[in-house]
Amino acid sequence: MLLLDMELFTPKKIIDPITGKERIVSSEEQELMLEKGILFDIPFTEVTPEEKSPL
Amino acid sequence: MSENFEKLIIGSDYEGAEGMFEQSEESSESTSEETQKARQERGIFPDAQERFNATLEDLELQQERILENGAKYPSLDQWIDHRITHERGTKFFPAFLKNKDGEKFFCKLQISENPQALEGLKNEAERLQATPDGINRPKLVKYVEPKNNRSAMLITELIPIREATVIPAEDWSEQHVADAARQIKIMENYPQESKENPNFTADATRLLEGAGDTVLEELRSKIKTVIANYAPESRATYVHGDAGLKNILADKDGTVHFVDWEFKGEGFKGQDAAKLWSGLQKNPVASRAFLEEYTHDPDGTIDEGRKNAIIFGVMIENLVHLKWRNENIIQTGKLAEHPNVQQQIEELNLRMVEILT
Repeated sequence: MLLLDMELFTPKKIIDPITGKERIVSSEEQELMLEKGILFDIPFTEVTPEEKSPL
Repeated sequence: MSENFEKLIIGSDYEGAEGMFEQSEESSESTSEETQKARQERGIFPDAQERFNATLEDLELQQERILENGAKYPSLDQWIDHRITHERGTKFFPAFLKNKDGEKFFCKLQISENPQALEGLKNEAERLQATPDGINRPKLVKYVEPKNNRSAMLITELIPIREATVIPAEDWSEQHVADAARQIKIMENYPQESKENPNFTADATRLLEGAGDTVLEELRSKIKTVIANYAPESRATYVHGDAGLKNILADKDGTVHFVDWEFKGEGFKGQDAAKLWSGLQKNPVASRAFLEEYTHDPDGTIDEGRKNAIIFGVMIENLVHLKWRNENIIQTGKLAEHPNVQQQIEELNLRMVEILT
């Protein structure tokens, strides 16, 4: 059986350029950003999938 | 027809109302065979990738998959499989593009025979060209009509995250809500012609009837008063159509930008304001500031019309969800299958109590 449940985006920690706060951007939020045409072109560090986005 | 409200409030049919149910466990795995079947059921073009490639070639563009910071974007096939596996919509494929000079764009690509999806792309192209002055939205670069094994493609400017992004309700500032209220007022004042000549007060009365006994008895007379107060505002109104937090990007300067203009644009006064106000509930300061800004004129006087409109809008949002539960769960005897529905009905009534009292 072929697994297709791949994670297209991995959770990332960023300094939110709008609020200036450090926060986690979940894979779902990155997917949402893509749908809205928001280019994720700022520095980030990878985090564990358990760390959640506030969105 | 009260069905108008279901379409206006939740996008299409009962999609949003159904979405309020407890989520079923997502399938953690699926076979390629299952995915292929799902692709067929969703009407996804078997040659979606080829169509994408051909359209890009025509336009001398290519997909941007990897950014300098290491962020990666999916291929069309990866994205479709991911969306199917997670039981999410596949109305269009979102992607970043670049031209020979390295200039980047955003596109939404038609990937299926779904007529609503194509209509959404066309609507967005038309609306981005004709949005009233004073409304912040992405600039339209090009709309490519579907033809000769080429899919429709909407190309707009992209928005770098450092300029504006989706932020949680908690991070909305008073400047952001003030700017959102300002833009919603501009939209509501923009002339909107209507072929259907809607009667929203009659629609609301039918909606209340459809919600049946799910509406608290003590709220009924208040709801009828709200409907009567709304009568002078009951006319076709230019709206964004889905003014939730996910479609309003905030920037550092305290201004906001509306994205996703795929809805037709004709709605009712108070619709956008109610949707945004509901989304801001996790931030009491911002939601109160929004209410103040939306319902007051620049000279500080209350605009009774807008005050009645936002109350009406919030009430309609909740009545739509109550009617759905009444007609599809209560009246069909399926309450035992949906044990959380009774609690949801109480919460929906509570939300109406908050806005009506």
